Amino acid sequence: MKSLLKIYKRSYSKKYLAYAILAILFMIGDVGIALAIPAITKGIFTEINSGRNSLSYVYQTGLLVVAVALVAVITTILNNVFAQHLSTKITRDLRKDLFAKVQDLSFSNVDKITSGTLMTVIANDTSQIQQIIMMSFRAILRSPLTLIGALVMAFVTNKDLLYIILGVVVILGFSVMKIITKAAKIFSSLQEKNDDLNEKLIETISGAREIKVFQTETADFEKFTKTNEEYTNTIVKANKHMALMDPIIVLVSNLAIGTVLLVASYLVSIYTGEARVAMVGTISAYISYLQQIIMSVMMLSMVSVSLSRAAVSANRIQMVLDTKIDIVNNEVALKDIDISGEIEFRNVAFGYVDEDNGVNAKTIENINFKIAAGSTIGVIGSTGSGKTTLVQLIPRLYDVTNGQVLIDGHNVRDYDLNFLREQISYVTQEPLIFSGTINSNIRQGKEDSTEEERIQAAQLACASEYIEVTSDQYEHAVTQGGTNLSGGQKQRLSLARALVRKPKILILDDSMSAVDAKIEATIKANLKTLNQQTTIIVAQKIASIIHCDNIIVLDNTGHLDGYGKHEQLLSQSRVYQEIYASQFGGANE
Amino acid sequence: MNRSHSFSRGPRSRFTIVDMPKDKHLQRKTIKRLWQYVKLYPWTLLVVGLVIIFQAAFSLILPYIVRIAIDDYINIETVNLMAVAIIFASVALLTVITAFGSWLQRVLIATATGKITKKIRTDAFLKLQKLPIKYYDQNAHGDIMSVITNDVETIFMALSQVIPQLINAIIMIIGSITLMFFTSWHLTLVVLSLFPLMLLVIAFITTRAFKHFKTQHVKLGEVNGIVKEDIDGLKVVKLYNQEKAMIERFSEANDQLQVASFKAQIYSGMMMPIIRLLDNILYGIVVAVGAVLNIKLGASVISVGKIQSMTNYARMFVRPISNIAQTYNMLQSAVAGGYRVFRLIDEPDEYLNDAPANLPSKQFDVCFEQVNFAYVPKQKVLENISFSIASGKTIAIVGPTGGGKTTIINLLSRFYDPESGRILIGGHDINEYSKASVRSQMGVVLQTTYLFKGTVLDNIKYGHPKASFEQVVAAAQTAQVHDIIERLPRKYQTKVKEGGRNFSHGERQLIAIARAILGNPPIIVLDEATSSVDTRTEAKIQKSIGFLVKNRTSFIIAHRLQTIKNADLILVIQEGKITEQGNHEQLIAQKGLYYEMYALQFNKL
Repeated sequence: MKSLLKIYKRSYSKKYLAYAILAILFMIGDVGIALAIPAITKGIFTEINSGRNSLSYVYQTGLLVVAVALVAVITTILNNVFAQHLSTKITRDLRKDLFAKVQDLSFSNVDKITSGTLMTVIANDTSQIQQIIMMSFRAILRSPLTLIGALVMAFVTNKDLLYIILGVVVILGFSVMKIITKAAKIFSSLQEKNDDLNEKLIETISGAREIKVFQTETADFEKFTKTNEEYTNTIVKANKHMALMDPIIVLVSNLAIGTVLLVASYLVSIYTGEARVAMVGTISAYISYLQQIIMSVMMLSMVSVSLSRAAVSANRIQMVLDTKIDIVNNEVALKDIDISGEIEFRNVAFGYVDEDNGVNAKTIENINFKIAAGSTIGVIGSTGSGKTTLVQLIPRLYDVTNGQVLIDGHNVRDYDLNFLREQISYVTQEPLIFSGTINSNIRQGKEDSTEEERIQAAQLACASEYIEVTSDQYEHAVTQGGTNLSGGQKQRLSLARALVRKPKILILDDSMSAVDAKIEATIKANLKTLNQQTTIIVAQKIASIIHCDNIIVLDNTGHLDGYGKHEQLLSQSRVYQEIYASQFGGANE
Repeated sequence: MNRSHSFSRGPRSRFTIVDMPKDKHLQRKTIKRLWQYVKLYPWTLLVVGLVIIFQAAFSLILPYIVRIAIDDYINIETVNLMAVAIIFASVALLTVITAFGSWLQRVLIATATGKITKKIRTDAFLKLQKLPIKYYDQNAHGDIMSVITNDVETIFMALSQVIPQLINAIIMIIGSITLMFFTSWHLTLVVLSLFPLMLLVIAFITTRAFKHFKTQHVKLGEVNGIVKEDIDGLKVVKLYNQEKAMIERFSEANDQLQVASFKAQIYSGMMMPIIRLLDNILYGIVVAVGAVLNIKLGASVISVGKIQSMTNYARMFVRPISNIAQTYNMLQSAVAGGYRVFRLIDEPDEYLNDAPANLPSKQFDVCFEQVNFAYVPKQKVLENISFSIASGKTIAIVGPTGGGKTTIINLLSRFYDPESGRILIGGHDINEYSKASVRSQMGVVLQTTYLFKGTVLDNIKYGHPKASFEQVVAAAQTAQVHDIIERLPRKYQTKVKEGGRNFSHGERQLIAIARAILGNPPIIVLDEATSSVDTRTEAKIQKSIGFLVKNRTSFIIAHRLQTIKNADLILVIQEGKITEQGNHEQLIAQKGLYYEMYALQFNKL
């Protein structure tokens, strides 16, 4: 609940205060009219019964009812217009703030929250907020107002009948709340069951080949049946609880109407004169108020469930918005200086946070080396030895747990983050391609690049050859995730994006795995001609890094096993020897 | 994605997006299919039907009873308390009965629809297991998911809520008109004269709201698409300082979403006040005209009670009309959902023409005879492929990406069948025997290994649930994955996250190799099985692979030629054709593509 209010307070409240006030004003008008109508019509019945047969009064009142109804429709629609302005705009701002926040999150932040949760928060939780704001005007604020108003009107109309209404409020409120809280409990466990079912389905779809080959259909079906059974039983159970709701409301309201009639007729029999005349009209008005009261009690109970749901969403939204970003600019924030591209690792250690197993295992530890500006460095080691982890520390995708990473003698933390990243081109293992065009993807590397620069980058990355055979060339449309390009084409495109900015430091993280050997050789030759940047090549194959100025060798536990030239390592590093033997051992036979 | 459940439907839920062939015939067929499921519960149907009729009749009759009470027993002259009490008692009794009936009806509906949707889901799932791999290759997995989850859910909603509501609405309309005529034909004509106007207004609002909800749906998809793209590619966004550009792109779509959502809510929000207005106008008109008639024609023609009950009937008449208008969209989407669900259930099953006989082979020599194959008609992937490999020997397949290497494996494991030509195992054409018996001879390790929910142990035991822990450890040791597993936080009991995302590709491949070793099959297929394993580890498992392929007919597809040098036969496949074949020395001597590839990988040595 607190976080719900917090979200509303987040600067949006002032921005849209006018909408909120107008929405509330029109809502009050709306409720007022709904309460007035039975009072007006009551007069007609009284008039008819009075035997005065005053037609003009009936006409007037009839017209009044129609006029009031017209005003009512206008107030309701205007109330809705302002309420929707408020709800859709707050949600829009919230979505935007969340999205902007995601852009600022560090990867250890993202790992902790998980990207799945981020998606759900932006997509679903914001809609929950939109709904709860809308419901505020439809129920949360309206129902108590209607309830109190109807009670007051009922009291004013006839004090003796009020007890019936109070009884109804208590009985109905109590039983409806009871049903709803019980059903809500079941419904909340439903989400879990639904996730289980979905997970099972994903498994059957994604693991179809395995299931067929290993012929595990029966076991697979048994698991499905179990989740399907549990999910269905939960829904049925919840719905059985909810089945009580409508009948109870109908029962209570009908019995209440009956009681009103019964008591009213008794009252008519003991009243005399004007009071007796008025009583007949009173009955119809009373029934109207009774119905309004029942509706509001019902709505209020319903809302309590939505509120608790929205509170869960609001908590998650707050959690994301309040996440402390752990990679930010230092006070120093060096920028606009010339970088030569010298890199040094001093006693560097890093461990990912493993939220499930609680083990904060060090991926790399005690790493020390220095890379001269302009040199080319290879990084090699077994799967899981921490090669990617190591290079990700340079552009500060993650921050070291211990030690320092320095560029040109300055800790990377002392640079302005944008400036630092502008100096570096990091080409990831999995090429990340965005929807748009070939051009828009290359331009991400350098927003103000000229066409020649982009073409040149594509040529260096050997991407121009496939780009130039498409009909639209550089304006060729690229689908989300680059699904209309092959793996090798995507890798070359992402390399072109990296080269267009002419980085001081170029990091290639096993980024040519899908490029065939001939093209890879051409790209390597092209890169050599640039000769102006520090290049770090992470590779599986010794052949890819054999000619590097120096090679970093990581062992299985994330420690440095060797640093030096190929020949040196062959004699000094056991890991390097093993890798070498595994790749070239046979060739010498 | 989360769906809201029956008791707190969001403002959107009444307008669902419909994607349905306009073909009336298909719609009717879908409804008939749904009926097949509903028909299984005749008693529920009967009781529900009776209760709905009884309920409607009762709510229609109630105003009549109230009228009698007011007209005859509560007026200025006399109050017959006794009669009112009797009326009260009988109304109370009827109310209790109806409430009970209505509760019973709901419970029965909940139970039956639960069972029906469970059955539909099961039928769809069974089909899912039997669908050919082709289906999974051609359809987006998210779409298949959505059919079994969202579409089935829509059917559930329709069956459990919309249809009972609809039946009730229809009875209420007919009943209220009838009763109005009996009460006062004068006033009935007044009410009915407003009917066309009401229809027009409701139709206008509904179609408008629906249009904007559709736009909102599309825009929401766009916004979510951008969010997904951004989160998936967050590394690049950060590395290239694209944050502002992404926010701009997002904001544009986000603003459009707000506008669409606003309009949709405005139109749908107009429904209730307009219905209420119509209600109130009717009320006013009925009361006014009634009063005039009362005064002009006398209370015997139109009494106060009659006016009172006429206003009630008029309300009972207006509400169901708007209900029908609103439920129409939900019904349509249920039919559309049903159409998609049944389309999935009707997909041809891969075992449809499966031969009953089991592959009788005792020998496992494999022979491809002039095999041709195309995934898409006329785009040949394999052309005239012929080769044979003796039982217990190893065959390696190499060549550029897209040449057709994996297709050979797809045909051998009968994920696809050849267009022409034959594949023989032990001299028997595999197409003449059951798919299950062919596959059970094979241990397949694929390039991308899917790990299932459960522990590492469960995953190695996958397909062989009876294997002992010792056997599992032995298989893991052979696959060189034992040491890796021992380093995991909970060793063999470490939980595998969805799809195995807490394991690297290399680790997954090693687990899959252990799986295959445990299975001890006569034919082994390794399709780029070690492509993501580093060469040092690969060298270590080379020995175990040597052990694995020993005395088994083995197919190895590999990029790294190092791993296949010792194969008995190496095929070079290019553009669907075998261009070179022989053993390592023979191919090196040929100085063809194999030689080139080999030289490239071992260059400068």
